[in-house]
Amino acid sequence: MSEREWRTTSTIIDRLRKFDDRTTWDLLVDHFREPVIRLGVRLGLTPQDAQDAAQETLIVFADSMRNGKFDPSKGRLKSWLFGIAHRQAQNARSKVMRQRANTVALPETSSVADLVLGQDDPAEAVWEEEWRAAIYKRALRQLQREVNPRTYEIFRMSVIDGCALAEVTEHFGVTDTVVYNTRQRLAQRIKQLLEEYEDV
Amino acid sequence: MDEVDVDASAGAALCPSRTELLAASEDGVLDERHGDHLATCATCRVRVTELRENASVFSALRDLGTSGRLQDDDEVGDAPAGYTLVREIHRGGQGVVYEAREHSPSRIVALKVPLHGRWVTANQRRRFEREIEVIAGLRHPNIVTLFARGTMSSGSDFFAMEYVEGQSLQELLDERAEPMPVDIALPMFITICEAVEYAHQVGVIHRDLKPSNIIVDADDEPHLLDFGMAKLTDESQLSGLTVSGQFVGSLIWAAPEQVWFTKGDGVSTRTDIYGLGLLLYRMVTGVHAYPIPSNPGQMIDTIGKVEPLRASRQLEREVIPHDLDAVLLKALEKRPSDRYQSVSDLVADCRAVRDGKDVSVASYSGIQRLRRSARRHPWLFAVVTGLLVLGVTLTLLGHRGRIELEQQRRLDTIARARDLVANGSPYRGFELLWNLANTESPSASWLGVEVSEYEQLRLRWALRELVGTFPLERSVDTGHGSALPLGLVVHPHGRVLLIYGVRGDWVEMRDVKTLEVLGRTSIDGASIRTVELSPSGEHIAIWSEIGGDLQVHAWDEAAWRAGDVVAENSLLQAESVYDIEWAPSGEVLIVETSTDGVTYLFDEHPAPFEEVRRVGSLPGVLTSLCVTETTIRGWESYYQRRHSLAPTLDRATGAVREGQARVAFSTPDDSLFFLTAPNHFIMFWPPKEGERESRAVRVSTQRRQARRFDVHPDLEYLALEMRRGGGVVVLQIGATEPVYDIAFHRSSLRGLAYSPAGDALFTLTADGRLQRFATAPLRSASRGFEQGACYSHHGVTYSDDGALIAVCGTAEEDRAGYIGVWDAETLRLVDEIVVETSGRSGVIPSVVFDPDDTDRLFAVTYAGALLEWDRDRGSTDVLYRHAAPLNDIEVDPSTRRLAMSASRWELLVWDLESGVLDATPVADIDPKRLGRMPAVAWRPDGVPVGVTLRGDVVSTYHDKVHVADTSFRDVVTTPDGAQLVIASDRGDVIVVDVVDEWGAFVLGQHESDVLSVAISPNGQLVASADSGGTVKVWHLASRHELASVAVSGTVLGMAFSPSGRGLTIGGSDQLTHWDFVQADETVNRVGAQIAAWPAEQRFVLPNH
Repeated sequence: MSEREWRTTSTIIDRLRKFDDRTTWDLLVDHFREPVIRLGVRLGLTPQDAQDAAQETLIVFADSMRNGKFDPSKGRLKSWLFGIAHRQAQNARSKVMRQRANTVALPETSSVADLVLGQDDPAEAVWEEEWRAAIYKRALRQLQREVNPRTYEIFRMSVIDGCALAEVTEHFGVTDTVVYNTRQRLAQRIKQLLEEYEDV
Repeated sequence: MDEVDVDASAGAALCPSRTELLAASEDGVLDERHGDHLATCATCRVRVTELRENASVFSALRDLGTSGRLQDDDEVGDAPAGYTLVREIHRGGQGVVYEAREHSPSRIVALKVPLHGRWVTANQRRRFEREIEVIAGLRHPNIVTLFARGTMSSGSDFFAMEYVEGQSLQELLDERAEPMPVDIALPMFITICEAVEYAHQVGVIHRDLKPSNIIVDADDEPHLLDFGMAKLTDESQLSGLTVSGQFVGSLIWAAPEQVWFTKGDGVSTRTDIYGLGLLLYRMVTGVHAYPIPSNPGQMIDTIGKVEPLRASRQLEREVIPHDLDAVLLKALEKRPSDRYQSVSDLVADCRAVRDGKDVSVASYSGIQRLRRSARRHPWLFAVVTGLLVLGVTLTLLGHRGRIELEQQRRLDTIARARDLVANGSPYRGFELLWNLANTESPSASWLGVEVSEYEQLRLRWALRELVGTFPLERSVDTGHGSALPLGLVVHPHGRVLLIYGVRGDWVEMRDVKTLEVLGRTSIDGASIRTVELSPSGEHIAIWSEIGGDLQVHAWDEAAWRAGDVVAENSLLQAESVYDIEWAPSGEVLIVETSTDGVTYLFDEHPAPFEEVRRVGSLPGVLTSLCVTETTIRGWESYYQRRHSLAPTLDRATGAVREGQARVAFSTPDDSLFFLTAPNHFIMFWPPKEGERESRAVRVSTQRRQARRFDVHPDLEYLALEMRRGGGVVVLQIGATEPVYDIAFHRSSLRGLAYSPAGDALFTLTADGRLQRFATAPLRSASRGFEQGACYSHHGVTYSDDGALIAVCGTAEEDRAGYIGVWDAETLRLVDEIVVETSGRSGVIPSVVFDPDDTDRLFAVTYAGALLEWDRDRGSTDVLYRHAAPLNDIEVDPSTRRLAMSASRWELLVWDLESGVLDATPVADIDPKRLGRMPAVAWRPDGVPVGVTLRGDVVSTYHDKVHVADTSFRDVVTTPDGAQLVIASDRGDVIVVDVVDEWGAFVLGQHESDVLSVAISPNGQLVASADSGGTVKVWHLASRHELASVAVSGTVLGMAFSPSGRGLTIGGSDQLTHWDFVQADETVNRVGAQIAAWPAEQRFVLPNH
C-alpha cells in the first residue's frame, strides 16, 4: 500500500484490523513510533526506556485495533494513540522511579503538585508537538519522493536550513524568482500532505 | 517567468507582480510595501493569503529543522534556539556534548546539555551549573571558552563553548606505538600546566585531569576541558556536591586524598599537581604510573600505597633523564605536603629538565626514602615505623593548637552531621553518616572501601547516637511465638495491657511494668481480628473473623485476673463488620459493615450501645481516614469533607489512588494527615479555609513501608512500625524528619502501643516477644560516696571485676597521702589508709588494683615512692623509691607490669613478678627542662606510653613524638590500642592515632585546661574534665558531645566502671558516681543509654 492510499481513517482501521496486513502495520510503526518515543523521552524516560514504552504502546494499540476497541465516532485515532502512549510512558516512568532506591528527602516544603511528578507536565501539548513534527517529517519524505533532488535541495536549504537567498541563488546558479517559486510550490504540496496526515 | 495579474477593477494596473509580492513576503515587508494596495485589491489579498499560509509552513519547518527534529536518526535531543546540532561528540554521565552550528554568529560550537534534560536530579543540576560557573570565569588560550548559556524550551539547561577540532590526548597517546619523546611531551605538558596554573590562580581546582579531558588541536596545542568536576578553592568543603561522600572523577587518575580516607589534607591545588604528574608519566612512559587492577577496591589500595616505579625504569632505553624521574616522583608523592606546592614550581622544574638545567628536586631525605621503602617492602614496616617517628615533628595548624591531620572530608562530614542534629535536622545528619558508613551505598561500594565491621559498627552507633534511641526496659518471651500473636493494646488506665493472637484461645492481660501475665481468657472458635478498649476503659470490643462478628463487653479486670471473663451475651453484636473505631472522646463506637454499606454509631452512655445514628457510607471510610473529633461532631459534613479531601490526598500521594497508601493518623482538627506508603511517609496539610494550596512533605523510608502505628498521647510523636525487620521509627509530628529509629527486632511486629502516660512504648513481635521501652528521659541523680577521710581526690580506678573503686589523693589532715576503697555497687566505704608523709610530696596521685588480687593495691607518691597496700595484711610497703616525683601509675594486666610516669620525662616499668624495674628511662632527657610526665597508659600490645607537659608522647619503644605545643595532662588508650586520648591545656581533648603515623584530631574542647580523661571499656565513650569543674562525655566514633555537666571543684581523676554503667569522678572537693542506668537528668540520655544497654545489644543493627 503506498502512501497515497493511506488516506482515510476508515481505510486504515479496516486494514489495521487485518492483523496480517504487514504492510499497513509496518507503515503504522514507521509513522507512529517516533512521536511515541519522543513523547516518552519528553516525559522523562531515557531513550531506551522510551523505545520500550513505544513498543508496548504499539502492541496495545494493535490489540485494541484487532479487538475493535477504537470507535472513530468517539475521537480521532491520533488522540486514542496518545492515550495509550501516555499511559505506557507513565507506567514506564513509575517503574523506573520505583526501581531507584531514592533515599533523599524532598525539600521541606513543596506544593502538592511538585510531589507528583507528571502532574503538571503538558503531555497532551507535548504529544501535539511531537505529532506535528512527525507529520511534517512524513510530508518532507513524501515530497522528496515527488520532486527532483535539486528542487528539494533548493527548498531544504532556503527553508529548513534558513540560508540567505543570495547564498542559495549563488550555490545553485538560479535566480531569486526560481527560489521563490520553488518554495511556494513545495509549500503548497506540504500543506496538502499535512492535511492528509493530520486527519488520521 | 513572472506572472502579472491584471485586475480589471480599479487600480488593476497597480497590482504588483507575483514576484514582487513574493519578494515582499519573503522579506517580511508585505504590508509595509504593498499594504495600501492590498487594502483595495481583493485579488491580491487572496494571493497574499496563500503566501502568508506558506510562510507559516516555512516557519514551522525552520523551527523543526533547527531543533533537529527533521533528522532521520534516533537521536531525540533538542537544540536550543539559534543552534543546529550536527553530531554527538561525547556522551557521559555528566551530559552530552554535541558539535553544533551556531546561527549567529555563524560558527561551530560545542554544546553541552545534561544527560536527562530537564529531568536531572537536583545534584546533577547543581553540578551542571557549577561547571558553567567555573568555565565562565576562565579565560585562557588553552582552556575552552564559554560562549553562551541558557535554558532550552524543554526546560533543560545548556551551554555552548569553544569547539576545538582535534584529538583528545588520550586518543593521541593510544595511537602511538611508542611513548611520547620527552622533547615533545614536555612543551605540551608545560602548556597544560600553565592552563592549570591559571585556573588555580582564579580559584579553580580541576580535580579530573586526565588525557581524555585534553584536546590537542592541529597545531599540537593542548586545550583543557571538562570542568564538570571542578571545585572552587574558596568554597566550603561542605558544599552539597562533595559532602555526600561520593567520589567525583575517574578513579585511575585520582590522587590519594580523593579516595583514601586516612591520608592527606583533602582536595587542594596539589590534587591537580598529582593529576599532572600522572599525565606526564603516561605521556613519557606510555603506561600508567602504577598497574591498574580491575577491582576498584584494589585500585584504592594501589593509589594509597603503591609507589610508582621510576619512569626511566619503565623503558628499555634510557630516554628519560633522571631529573625528570625526580620531578615525576615529587609530583606523585602520596602526601600533598610532599609534592610540589604549586604548579609553577612543577613548571619551573620541567623547564629546567627541558633546558638541561638543575632541577629543584634534591635526592630524597633519608626519611622519605625509608617511607618509600616501607611501602614497597611491608616487611620493613615495623622497623621503618620506628625510624620514621625519629625526629618527626608535626607542624601545628590553626589557632589554639588545633591539629588537623585527619582526612578533612570525613571530619567535616561528621562535623556537619553533628551540626545538622544540633540544628534540628537529625535525619539529614543520619543520612550523611549513613552514607559514610553504609557499604551498600553506591559511593562506598564504588570506592571499594572495605569498611571494617568495627568501623561500620562505630559509625552506625554514631548514627544511633545522633538520632537517639529509647532504652529497652523490659523484655519477656510470652511463649506465644507459635500461636500467631496479633495485637497489643494498653488499657487506658495504664496499669495493664492486653495481648492476643489470631486464634482466640489466648488473650492475656499483663502488667505494664513487669510484663508478667495477670490473667487470660479465651474466646472459643474465634479468629480474632482486633481487640479494642474504649478510651474510657469501660468496654472492650472484640472483633473476630467468624462472621465478621463484633462483641462488646464491659471491662471487668477482676474477672480477667480470675480467668473468668467471657460473657455469654455481649452488649452489642454486629455482623459483617468491615472496621471499627472508637471515637477519641470515647463515647462513640463506629462500626462499618459491608453488607448494607451502613455505618453505625453506638453511644457508650447513658444507655450502652444504643444505636445513635445510621448513616450511609462507603465501606472503607474508616480505613482511609482516621476518625477524629471533628468528624464525629460534624458527622453530616463528614462525607463532604472526605470527598473534598480525597482528591487532594490522591493528588498529594498518587499512591493513595492505587490503594497503596493509608492514612495512619490525623490530628484532631484534621489539620495534618500522616500517610504511609511504600518507601515513604507523607505528611499532608490540607488547604485551610480560603486556601487553595496544600502542603505535603515526603520522607523516604528507604524501601521500608510503615505498617503499624500509634500516636503518643501528647500528640507529639508518632511511632510507626516498619516492614522487614520490625523496625520502629518515631517521628515528631510536624517535623519533616524521623527523630528516632529503634529498629532492633529480628522479627516483625504485631503490636505497637504507647502507654497512656506516654512514658513507655510497648512492642509485640511475631515471635512472641513483648518489650517495653522507656520514652521519657531517664530519671534519677548522681550518687555520692560514703564519706571517707580523703580530702582531695586525685586518682580513681576500678578493680577489673568492677566490684571495687579505689580513690587516692590527700587526707584531710596535713595533706597526708590517702587511699580508699569503696564498694562500687553501694558506694559504701570498704577500706582506707592514710600514708603519713610531710609536705606536698605526701600526695598520692594515682593508684591501681593488682589485677589478680583486689586486696592488693599499688600507688605512687609525689615523693617518688611506689607503694604496695596489702589490705589483707593491713600493711603498706615501699617497693621502690625514685629520685623524682612519680605522677601516675597504670597496670598492664596481661603482663603484670606497672608503668609509672615520673618527672624528667621518665617512663618506668616495674615488673610485679620479678619485683624489679625492667626499663630504663627514656632517652632525650633535657636536664634543664625537667619536664613533668604527668600521665602514662598501657597500649594493648604491651607498650607503655606517657605524655609530657611539653606536648609529647613518649614510649619505651621509640623516642618522643611531639604532637602539640601544649601541655598534656592525662592520657588513656582505646581498647584496641589504635588511639590515645589526651587531655591538654587550652581545653583540647586530643585523639592521636598511633597506628596511622600519628595522625591526630581534636575530639572536643573545654573552656579551661583539661586535666583528666577516661574511656569506657568498650571504647565508645570518653569523659573529660577541666579545671573549671566541667565534665564532658563524648562519643568517640562520632565525636559527638553527649553531655556537659558542671560539678563542684576541680576534677582530678575519673574512671568508667568495667561494666560501662557508671563513671566515677574525683575532684578537689567531691567524689561522685554517675550511674548510667538511672542517669542524672543532666546527662544526655543518649550517652547514658549506650552504657546501659547490654553488651550484645549495643551492636544490634537495623535489619533492613
